[in-house]
Amino acid sequence: MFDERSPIYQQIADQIKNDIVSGELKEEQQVMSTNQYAAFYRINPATAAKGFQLLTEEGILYKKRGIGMFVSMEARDKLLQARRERFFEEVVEPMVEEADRIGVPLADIMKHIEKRKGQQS
Amino acid sequence: MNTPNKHSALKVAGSLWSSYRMTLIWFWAIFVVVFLGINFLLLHLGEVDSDMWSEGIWAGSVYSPKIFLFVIGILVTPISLASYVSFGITRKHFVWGSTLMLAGLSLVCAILTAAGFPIERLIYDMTGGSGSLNQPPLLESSLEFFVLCFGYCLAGCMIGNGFYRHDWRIGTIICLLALLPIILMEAIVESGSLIRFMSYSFHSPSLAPWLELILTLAIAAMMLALNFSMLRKVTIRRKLV
Amino acid sequence: MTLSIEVKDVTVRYGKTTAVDRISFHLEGGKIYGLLGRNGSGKTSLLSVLASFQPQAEGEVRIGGEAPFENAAVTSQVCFIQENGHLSDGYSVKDGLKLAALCMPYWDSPYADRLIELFGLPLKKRISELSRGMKSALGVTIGLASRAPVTIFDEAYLGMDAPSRYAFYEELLKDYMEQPRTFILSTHLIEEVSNLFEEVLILDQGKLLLHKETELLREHGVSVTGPAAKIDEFKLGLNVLGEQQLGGIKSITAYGELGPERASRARAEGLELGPVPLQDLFVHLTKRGGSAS
Repeated sequence: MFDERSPIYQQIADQIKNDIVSGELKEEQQVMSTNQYAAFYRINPATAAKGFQLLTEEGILYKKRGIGMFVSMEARDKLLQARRERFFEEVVEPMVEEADRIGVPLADIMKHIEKRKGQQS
Repeated sequence: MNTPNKHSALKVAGSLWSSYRMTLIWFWAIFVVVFLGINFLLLHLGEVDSDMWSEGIWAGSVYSPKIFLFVIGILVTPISLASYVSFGITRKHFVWGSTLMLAGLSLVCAILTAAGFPIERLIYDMTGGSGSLNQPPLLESSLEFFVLCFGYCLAGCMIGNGFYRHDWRIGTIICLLALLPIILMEAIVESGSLIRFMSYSFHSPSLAPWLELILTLAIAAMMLALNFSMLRKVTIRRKLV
Repeated sequence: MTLSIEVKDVTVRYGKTTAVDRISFHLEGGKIYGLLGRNGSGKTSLLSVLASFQPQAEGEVRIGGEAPFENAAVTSQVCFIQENGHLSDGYSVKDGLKLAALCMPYWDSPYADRLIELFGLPLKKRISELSRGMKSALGVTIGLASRAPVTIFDEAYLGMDAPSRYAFYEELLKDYMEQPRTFILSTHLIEEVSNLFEEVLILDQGKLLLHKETELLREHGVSVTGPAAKIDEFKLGLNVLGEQQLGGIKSITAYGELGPERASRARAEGLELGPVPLQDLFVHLTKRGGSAS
């Protein structure tokens, strides 16, 4: 279920973020409770709660007292913004580096992108 | 913290009783069948030893309930202590509970043993036996049998506890020591009414029944104290053999 | 209801061997604790003191503020389950459960019935006739259904097969979330259960090596991989638990927080940082001669 690559609560937070970005979790939608998370993934509820806490601090989720946790209005925009910021650093840069290493000219990459663009439109 | 285990000792006694109840019934069923069988054989074979008749067969067989209780006493701790302690019963409550259960077993055995004499007499009369078959007073002898039976139980416990608590060397020593109190108890009781009725040839100085009772109970109390002291701080073992 | 557990300088001896050596810790209660340690590290001895199976040679134990040994008010709150159980072999499963129901004040019979069905326990069989897995399942059933404020499983579930073990983990979590109580699970098979623990205690050779929140402990372990020369330079000042080398590439396992400075240095030098699975951390920490200081 979880790999051991990062703390589990971090992974839970990332999963919820992914669900929000992909649109699976909509704004103002209620997310599963920590207990449901814990039962589903067979983890300690305190760990799940820690992941939720992380998201609350980042303003992605908010708590309705006595009801549960909800996706905040601006969550998706916030996440998209952050991902866009990191896009070049995290996706493009490594790609260019790899291309350089294995001898794929940048021009080929450009050509490939242009071709895809043509298909999409 | 609530303390729900107010009557833990009674719980222990009750559940041990239900464990040993069938053993008790089974033992007595066999015992009675054997007794009746011997009676039957003797009556039909005719070769009767006069000595035997003066005492009756029953009087000669009262030893077996004592041995039966002795063995139960040996088994109680090694078989059951760990179960009870693992369910949150203290050693103290276990000792009280098991002692109570053993007292119950002793009482049943004592009453049945004492009741055997008039019944034997009845059978004897019905089959037209000659001579006189002596009978001990029912209440007094029940009481004596009870104290003796209980003594055997406690002595058995001493052996069981000794082996549970200590290694085999000390266990063996306790095994031998456990015989002392029952020999003593037998001696005290024999000097009393039981022996008088049996009209043995030798007469030890006879004690008053109340003194006899107090002395034997004091010995029982000592054994009980010893049993408790052995188990008070005992380490619960996983499984004994 | 939750009960705290206070252990102070507790020592347990068997003749001349010291099984538990002046251990101290405080468990707040109401959590799932993992007690980890290699075979013979003193786990069972420590737990059997908590369960009043034996008195400690030295030190103090308090459960809910009271000394547990021969104290019915405390012993009735604690349920200690070991793999081979303590029920006499002659009992049937049904008798054993009846006795448990009689003695344990919080016993939940309907829950016990559900667990019996879940694990497929044969009620009429004698304990001596049960397979290892079934004995474990009986123990687990008793522990869960006891609803005891302090429930201790001493490697109690190791005899069960994987599906039953996972059923047990699920039940444990479910029950814990419905009615929070203190669970202590001892094990040396960490991979499977480590996600259940909120805190872990690691024993080694009778001493308490560490007591930490599980997630914090996870964050404390780090592996660094890269060219051997660079690693040798980088590892100076780190608490290195283990090293491995393959050709020119070296990998170290370090314990302790790396700190942002060192982390960025590692990135700058092209060293790969990675987490360490709890099981690996445990193996490294309890390797003979290893230390977490």
